[in-house]
Amino acid sequence: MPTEKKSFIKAYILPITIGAISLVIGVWLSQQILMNTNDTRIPKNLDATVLPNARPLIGFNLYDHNEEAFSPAQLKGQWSFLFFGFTNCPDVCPTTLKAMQAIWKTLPTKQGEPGHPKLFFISVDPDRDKTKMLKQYVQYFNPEFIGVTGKLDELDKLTRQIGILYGYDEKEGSHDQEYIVNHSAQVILVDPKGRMRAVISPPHIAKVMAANFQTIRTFYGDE
Amino acid sequence: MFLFRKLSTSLFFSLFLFTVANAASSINIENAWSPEAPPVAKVMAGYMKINNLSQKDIKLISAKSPLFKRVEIHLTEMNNGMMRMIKQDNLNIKAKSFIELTPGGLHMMLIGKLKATKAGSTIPVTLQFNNGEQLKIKLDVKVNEEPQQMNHHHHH
Repeated sequence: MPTEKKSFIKAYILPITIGAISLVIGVWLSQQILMNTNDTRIPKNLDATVLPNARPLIGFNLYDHNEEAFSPAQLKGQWSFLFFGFTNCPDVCPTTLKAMQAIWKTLPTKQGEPGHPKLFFISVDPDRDKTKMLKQYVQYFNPEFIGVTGKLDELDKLTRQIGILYGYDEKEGSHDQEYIVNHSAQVILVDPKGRMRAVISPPHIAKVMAANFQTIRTFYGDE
Repeated sequence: MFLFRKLSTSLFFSLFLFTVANAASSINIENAWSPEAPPVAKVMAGYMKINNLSQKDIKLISAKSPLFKRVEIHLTEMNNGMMRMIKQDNLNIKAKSFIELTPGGLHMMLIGKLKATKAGSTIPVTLQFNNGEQLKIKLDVKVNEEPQQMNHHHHH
């Protein structure tokens, strides 16, 4: 009996020990990997939806208010805020652009400095929003803001990746220039690699957004 | 003392006249304003509080302004993150109650700007109610620095 008991312990103690050790090593390793890649962890206590895996924005060809290209390349090298709307928008767009203006006043950085973001106001109403007027419209809020628009199919290439929706209310006639554009009102934060990193839903409160932006920036860095 | 009495008499009279002038109206308007818009913008918004002082429901049925082609009442409604402007045929203001037009909610949409308007100026608007009353008001054009009073309240 005692020898049987001994062999019983002998038979089990080794696999159990090996199992326990590999478990510890496994947990330790996975923690190390998580800490090193940073990829799926997100900053806490935010009023924004942060994507654990940033989504690259690709394959769109739009133009800015100076008629220069606006493609994925323009989203690289700095944090960018994207906001979709149209200039004939009386309520939501000016309210959000006012909030963005307030955020810009609290930025610790100046234009051209590392970590200084850009704001792209993307008009989903290219029929009415011509570049010249788009430029005057966005620069009223801040001279740094950049108006963007383009062909509808190119706009769709970008909006579909982001999940932004827009649509026109019925025009009252073919010459009706006063139709309404319904659109998603989220502000999208794009990281310096040109990847969608966070979605900020309305109401857009400048103080909250400014603080969230700095938290996200600090967490992920400016590269 | 005489001066005081004279002053208070005229004050009393002007107060009296003011009351008489307003007694005819079952509606009054508070805090009517419009955020200054970029000069190139063809539309603007109007916000205000409309008080119904009467014992009956009253409907705002139309509005017009000499500075715009037309004026509509819209509701900004958010549905799955998509902002929709829903045109309201009228606006019912319950008896002894009020309705507020605020950024991100109900607003007057001033369409087809005919003349530049800057902060410090006013936009005349005529409101037509279903009880036959007509009210001429002025929206103060203001630079809205802190657009924080959206109608969706936010608590932290």
